[in-house]
Amino acid sequence: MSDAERHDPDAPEDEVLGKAFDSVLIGRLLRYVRPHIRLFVATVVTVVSISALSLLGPYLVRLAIDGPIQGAIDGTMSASQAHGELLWIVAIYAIVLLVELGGELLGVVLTNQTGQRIIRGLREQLFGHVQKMGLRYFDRHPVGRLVTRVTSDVEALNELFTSGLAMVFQDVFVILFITIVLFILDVELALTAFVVVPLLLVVSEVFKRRSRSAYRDVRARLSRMNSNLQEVLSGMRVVQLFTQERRMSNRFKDANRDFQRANLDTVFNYALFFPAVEILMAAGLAGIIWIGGRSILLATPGEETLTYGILVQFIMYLRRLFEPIRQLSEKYNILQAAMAAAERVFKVLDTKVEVPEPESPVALPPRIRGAIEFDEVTFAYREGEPVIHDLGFTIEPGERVAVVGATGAGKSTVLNLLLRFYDVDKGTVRVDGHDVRSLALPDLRRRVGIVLQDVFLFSRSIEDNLRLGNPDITRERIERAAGTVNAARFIERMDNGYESQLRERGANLSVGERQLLAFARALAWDPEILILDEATSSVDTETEGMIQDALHKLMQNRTSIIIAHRLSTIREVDRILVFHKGRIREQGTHEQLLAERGIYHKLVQLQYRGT
Amino acid sequence: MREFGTILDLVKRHRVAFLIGPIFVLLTNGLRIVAPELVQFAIDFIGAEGEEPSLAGRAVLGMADTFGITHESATIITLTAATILVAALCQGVFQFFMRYVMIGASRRVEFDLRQRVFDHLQTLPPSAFESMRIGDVMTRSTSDIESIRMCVGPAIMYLTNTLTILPLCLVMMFLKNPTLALFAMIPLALLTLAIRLIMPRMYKHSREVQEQMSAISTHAQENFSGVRVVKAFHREQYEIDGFRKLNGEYVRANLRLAWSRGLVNGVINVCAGAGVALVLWLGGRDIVRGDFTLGKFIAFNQYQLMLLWPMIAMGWVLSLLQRGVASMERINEILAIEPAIRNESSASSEPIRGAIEFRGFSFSYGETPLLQNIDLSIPAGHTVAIVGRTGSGKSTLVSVLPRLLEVPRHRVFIDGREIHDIPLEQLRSSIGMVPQDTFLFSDTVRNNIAFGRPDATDDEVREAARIAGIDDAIDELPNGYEQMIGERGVNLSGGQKQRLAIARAIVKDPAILILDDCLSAVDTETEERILAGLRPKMRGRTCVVVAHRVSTIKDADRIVVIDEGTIVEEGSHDELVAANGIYAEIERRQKLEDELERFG
Repeated sequence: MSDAERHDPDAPEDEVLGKAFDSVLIGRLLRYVRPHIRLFVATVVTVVSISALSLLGPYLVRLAIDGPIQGAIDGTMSASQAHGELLWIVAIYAIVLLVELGGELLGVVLTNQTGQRIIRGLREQLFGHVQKMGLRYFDRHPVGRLVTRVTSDVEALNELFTSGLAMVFQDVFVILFITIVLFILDVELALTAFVVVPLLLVVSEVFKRRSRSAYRDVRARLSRMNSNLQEVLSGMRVVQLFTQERRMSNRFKDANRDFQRANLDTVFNYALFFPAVEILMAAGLAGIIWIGGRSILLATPGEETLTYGILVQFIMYLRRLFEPIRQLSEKYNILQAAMAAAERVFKVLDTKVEVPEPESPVALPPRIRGAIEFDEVTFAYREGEPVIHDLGFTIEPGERVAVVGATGAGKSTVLNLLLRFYDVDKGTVRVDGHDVRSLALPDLRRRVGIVLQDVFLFSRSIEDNLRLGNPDITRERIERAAGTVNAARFIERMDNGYESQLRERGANLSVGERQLLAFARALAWDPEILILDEATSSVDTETEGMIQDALHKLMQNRTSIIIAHRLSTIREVDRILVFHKGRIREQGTHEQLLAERGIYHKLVQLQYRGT
Repeated sequence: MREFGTILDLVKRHRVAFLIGPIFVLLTNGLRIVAPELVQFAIDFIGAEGEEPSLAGRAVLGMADTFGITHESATIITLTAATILVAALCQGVFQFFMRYVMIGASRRVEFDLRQRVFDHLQTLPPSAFESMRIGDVMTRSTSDIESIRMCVGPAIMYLTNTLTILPLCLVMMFLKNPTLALFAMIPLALLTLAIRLIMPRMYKHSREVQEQMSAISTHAQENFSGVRVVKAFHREQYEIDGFRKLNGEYVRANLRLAWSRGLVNGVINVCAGAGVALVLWLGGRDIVRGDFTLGKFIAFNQYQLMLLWPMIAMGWVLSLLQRGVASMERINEILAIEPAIRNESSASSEPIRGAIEFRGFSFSYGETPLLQNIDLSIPAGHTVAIVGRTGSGKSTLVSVLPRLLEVPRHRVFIDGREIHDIPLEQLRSSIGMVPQDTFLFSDTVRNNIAFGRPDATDDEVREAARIAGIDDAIDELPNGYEQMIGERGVNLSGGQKQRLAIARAIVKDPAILILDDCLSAVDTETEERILAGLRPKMRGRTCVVVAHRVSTIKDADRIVVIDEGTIVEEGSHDELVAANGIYAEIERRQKLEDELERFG
C-alpha cells in the first residue's frame, strides 16, 4: 500500500449536503476571521513556507546528482572535491529537515490555534444567543437539535478553519509551485507528467461522486437497520408475545443485508480507486523515464537540456503533486459540510429573541412589596388553543394563595406568565403595580423564587446547585437555608456533604430529597415572591412531614403562590383559587369552598382522599 | 486474542477469502518492486554502458530479444517504460482483488456476527432489556461490531501488507548495497519507534478532546433542558461563563492534540527526508568512489518511500487490534447471557381451552416480594377482572401467563397442565395480550394489526379493527389501512394506539385474552363500545382484564382485588360494593370523577 491509502475509507466522514461555496455564507464566516486576521495570515504564511521548504529536498538531490556525483562520474571533479561538495549539500539538507520538523509542528499548532479561536467565539455567541431565547423557542426546538447546533455543526466549521482553509492555501500553493517549476525545468517532460493529471482529476471526481452516493446509501441503510434494531429491542415484549421472532429475524436480515451491500459497494469503489491512482502515478513515472531517458540519450553531447538530476527531481515532484490533487475532493467535502453547518448555525443566530428586554426598564426598589395582579389575561401556548381566558385576580403582599384545579386547568401558566417565560396574548400581569414587560428580566426574576414540580438539578455539586453561581450567596447562607428546610441532614450524610456531586438531573437523590434541595435553593435566594409547583409524586410519611414543615417556613413573610396537590398544603394558605378550564371558578378559604360543595369539593374528594 | 474464539466459525465460513486475500497481497507487493528495479535499469542503461544489468534489466533485454527488438538504447528505454506501465496495471488488478476480497470478507463476517447478536437478543426475556439499556445494546451492535470488523478486515490486510513488503524491499536493498540498506533502515525503524511512542499520547489527547466535547455537549444539554431554572434564577450569564470555561478547556485539549499531531506529521516527513539525505550522503560517496550507481541510488530512494506507510501502519494496526479485543469482550458479554425462558416441551398437544390456575403463586423482584401465595382459578370461558393500586402486582400476575417472566414450577397451570409442559410457541400463540404500555411498530396500520398473523385476510383485519372500535378512525386516515404510523408516519393518539393493540390481539383469535389496563386512554363511551364489541367475540374464551375503571370491569364474572401482593377481595360487582372495602372506595371515586367531568 502506498501513501495513497493513508486516508482510509473507514475514517468517519461528515454528512454532506448542499453546495460547497456560498459567497454570502463565506462572507459572513470571514467576519469571524477578522478579529484574528493577524494570526490567520501568520498561519497561512507559515504553512505555505513550510510546504515550500519541503519542496527543497528534491532540488537538493538534483544539485547533488548534477554537481558532485555527475562530476565525479565524468571525471570533471576529483573524488575528494566531489565528496566535500556532497557533504555540504547533505548538511544543508539536514538543516532544512530540522527546520521542517519545527515548521511542521508550528504549522499544525498555528492552524489549530487560529481555527479554535475563531470557532470558540462563534460557539460562545451561539450558546449565549440560545440562552437568551424565550421558552417558546425551546418548546419548538428539541433540546437534542439545539445541542447539535452547538456541537457538531460548530465542529464542521472548525474542520473548515483547521483542515480546510489553511490546507487549501497549502495545497493550491504546492500544486502551483510544482507545476511552474516543472515547466521551467523542461516543458516537454512537464507536459508528459501532466498528461496524467487530467486523468487523475477525472478519476478523483468519478470516485468522489460514486463514493458520495454510496456513502449516502450506507448512512441511510445504517439508520434503517438501526431503527429496525431499536424498534425490535423496545418492542421485544410484543415480538415474543406474538411469537414473531423468526419473522423479525428475517426482517432484520434484510436490513442487515442491504447495509452490507451498500458497504460492499463502497469497498468496491475504494478497491478500484486506490489502484487507479497508483497506475496513474506509474504511468507518469513511465512517461518521464521514456521521454526523459530518450531526451538524455539522443541529445548531442554538450547541448543537453536535461540532466539526471532534473529527471530525479521530476520523479520526486510527481509524487508530491499527486497527493494534493487527489485530496481536492476531500477538501471539497469539508467545504460542503461546513456550508451546510454554517447555514444552520446562522439560522439560529438570526432568530429573534421572543421575550425582549424593555428598552428603558422601570427600576425596582431593593425590596419590593410583592403584590401580584393578573388583569384580564388571555394566553395560548399554541395559537387558537388558549389555556387561560380573561383571567383576573390579585394577591396582596405577604398573602399565601393556593391554586387548585384538574390537570390542564391552566394552573402552571400562572407561573410561566408571572416569571415572563412567555408573554401574555392579552391583558397585563403586574408586580407591585408594574407591568412585568416594563421590568428588566433579571430584576423581575430576582424577586420571584420558584420551585418546580419536576425539580431540575444540574450534575454539579450540591453547593453549586443551591448557589447557582451567585457570589452573594455565602456558604453560611446555604447551610442555614438547608438547615431551615430540613435538607441539611441528608446533605451532611452524603460522602462529601455540600461538595457531593449530583448525577444528571439529581438521579442519585430521592424525590423528596430533590424537593427539599429545591426549597433550600429558593430560600437561599430569599425572593419576595415564591411560586411553588408542588410535586405530585408520593413520598414517604416522614419526608412528607419534613416537606410540609419546610414549606411552612419558606412561605413566611413572602407572597406565596402554591400550585397545590396536597390537602395538608392547602390548609396552610390564606386563600384558594379554583381553576377550571382556564378560568377561576371558585375562591375562598378551604372551609368556605367545601361548604359551597362545588368543583373544589369534588377535587378534594378526588385528589386528596389519599388512595 | 482468545476473545475472538466466538467468531472463529464465522471467519472459517469465509476461509477462502481469508486464504486468497494474503496471496493477492503478496502478488501486489511482488509487482510493486518491479518499478524501482526498472527505473534503476533505465538510468544505468542510459548512463554507464558497462554496468552489469540488474535482474529486471536482464528481463527487459530478454524481452527485447523475444520480440526481435534491437538493443538500441532508445528502444530499450521505451520498452522499459512500457514494462513499468504493464507491471503497474497488473499490480493494480491484484491490488483491487486484495482489497475487495479482504475488506469484503470482513463485511461478510460483520453481517453474520450482527445477525447472530440480533437472533440471540430475541431469545432473551423482556426483563433482560431493563437491566441492559437499549442505548447500550445499540452501541454494542454498531460501533463494537464495527471495530471487530476493522480487526478482521483492514487490520489483517495492513498487517499482511507490512509483513510482505518489508522483507521484499529489505532483500532488494541488501542486494544492492548492504551497508546502505542498513543505514537506510535506521530512519524507518526510528519512525516506527516514534509512532509507537507518540501514538498513545495522541490517543490520550484525542480522548481528552472527545471528553471535553462531551462535557460541552452535556453542559449545553443540561442547560437547555433546565432552561426554566436558569431563567427563573436569571443565571444566563453565569451559565454562559461556565460554557466559556469548558470551551476554553476544549480549545486547550485540541491544541495539545495538535501538538502531537504536528509531531507525528513532522516526524514522518523528517524520517522520510532523513532517509533520502542518508542515502544521498552515503550512496553519493559510494557513487563518487565508483562502488554504486545512480540508478541504484534512485531505486533505493523509491524503496524507502514505499516502506514509509507500511511502517506507520504497524502502529495503527496494533491499536486497531487492541480496540477490537475490547469490543469483542463486550459482544461476548451479550452472547453469554443465557436465555432464561426457553421452550422446554416439544410435545405437540391438544389446543389450549383456557382454564387458568395459580396455586400458591409467589413472585418477587430481587429481594422484594411482590406477590404472595396467590390462589386463583379461572375456568375456561370466564371473564375475570383484576383491580388494585399501582404497584400491587396486577401486571406481574398476568405477564406470567405467556411466560414473559420466569415462572416458578408447579404454581401455574393452564388447562390443568403445568405451564412449562406446554410448548412456548403454542402457549404464546394461544394468548392474546394487550400490554399496559402500547407498543406499535412504525409500519402500516394493517401490518400492525396483523402483526401476530401476517397471513390474516383483509376481512379479518377489518373485523378486528371494528371490534376494537378503531375502524372509523382508520378509515379517516389518509391512506386507510395502508397508512404508515409511528416515527415515519402519522401520530396516533394514546387511545387510538391502545385500540390498535387490542385489534392486534384479537386477530390472533386467542383462547385467552389478557387486557392489561389497556383502556386507560379511551373515554368511557368508546370503552363501552369496545367492550360491547368484544363480548360476542369472547364468548367461550377466557378473558383476564386488569383495569382501574369500574365501568370496564363491572360486568366481569368475577372481580379480584389485589393489595400488597395478596388477594384481599373477590366476588361480583354487587357483592364487592356491598362489602364496602377497597373496591367500593374505587367505585365511589369513579363516580366523583364522572361528576367533575360534567362541570362546564
